[in-house]
Amino acid sequence: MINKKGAMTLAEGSPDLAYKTDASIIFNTSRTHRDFVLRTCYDSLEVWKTKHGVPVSAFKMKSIPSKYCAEIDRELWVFSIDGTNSSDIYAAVRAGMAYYKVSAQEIISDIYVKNLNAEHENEMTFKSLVNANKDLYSKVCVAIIQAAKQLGIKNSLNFYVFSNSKNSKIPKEDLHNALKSGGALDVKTDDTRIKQQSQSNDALRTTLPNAITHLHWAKLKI
Amino acid sequence: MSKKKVWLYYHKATVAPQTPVNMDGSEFMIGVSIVPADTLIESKDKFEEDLSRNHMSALEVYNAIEYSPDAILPDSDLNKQIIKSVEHAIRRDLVHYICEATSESLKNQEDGDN
Repeated sequence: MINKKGAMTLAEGSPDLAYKTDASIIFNTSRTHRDFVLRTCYDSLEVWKTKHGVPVSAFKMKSIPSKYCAEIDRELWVFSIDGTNSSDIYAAVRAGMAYYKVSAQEIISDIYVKNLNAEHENEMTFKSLVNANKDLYSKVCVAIIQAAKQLGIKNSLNFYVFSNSKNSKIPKEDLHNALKSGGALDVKTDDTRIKQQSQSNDALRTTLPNAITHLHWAKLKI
Repeated sequence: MSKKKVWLYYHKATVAPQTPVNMDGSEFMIGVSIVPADTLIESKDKFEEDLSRNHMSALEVYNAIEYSPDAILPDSDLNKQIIKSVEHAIRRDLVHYICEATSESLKNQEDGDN
């Protein structure tokens, strides 16, 4: 059996190409081919449709009857996936395994997230926002590790985070500490400037495709 | 039934860490607010409320115009995004915002970086 090279993303928003998390970039701004990408959204299908106004034909898979899925641009999207919940990550990977006919290892070895950010940030104080975001990143690492164990993964995983190192919502040092407290063995930052387009969680505010970000890599030990 | 009007506010505003899409530690952002409203006066109130709710304060309003598809051609990243955001603003009847540049991105440009 030939292994396929895939990846998984968390907290996707708009399905527009410019906003989707770039899952082909790896450290030192090298690129790798992906045979498939499993994309997951924190939002429920209903909320996601309201935010983005995209008509999709949703369906449920036997392996995860509690979650809606949709095929968008020949990729599987799974909705209502909370990255801090290991059961949700497990469910999404199971859906990906059935849909792409691949192993869990092929999906979960490389996980990406772009600008993970606590909900309702404009209602928080600055300090509580940074703490909420640190907590979020730590909990995501813990959940990924737990889900991987449940899926029988033995090898370490690569968790890639797009976030500007000067992002005051979670500066580089806080991000690294959060990833380590969530179980990352090693964390590194690629200082190359990457241009991307991003949206707020409520999809009411957007950057243009020229917004600068950086790639951080965490090695998660199972 | 008359179609909802949309107003474009081109402006520069201070931002805080809690300001959504302030993701590079900037002190100000230059951008466009897209405001669905029946009148210019109503749009001004909505524009200001939206800035305030998002920890922003206008330093300068460069232009405030009613959106017309004939006047905004998809000839730049900004205009392409305005056209998309106008659709969403009408559909959701909510103010949308596009960040065109940040104080940090302008600093990098001055330093000669891309």
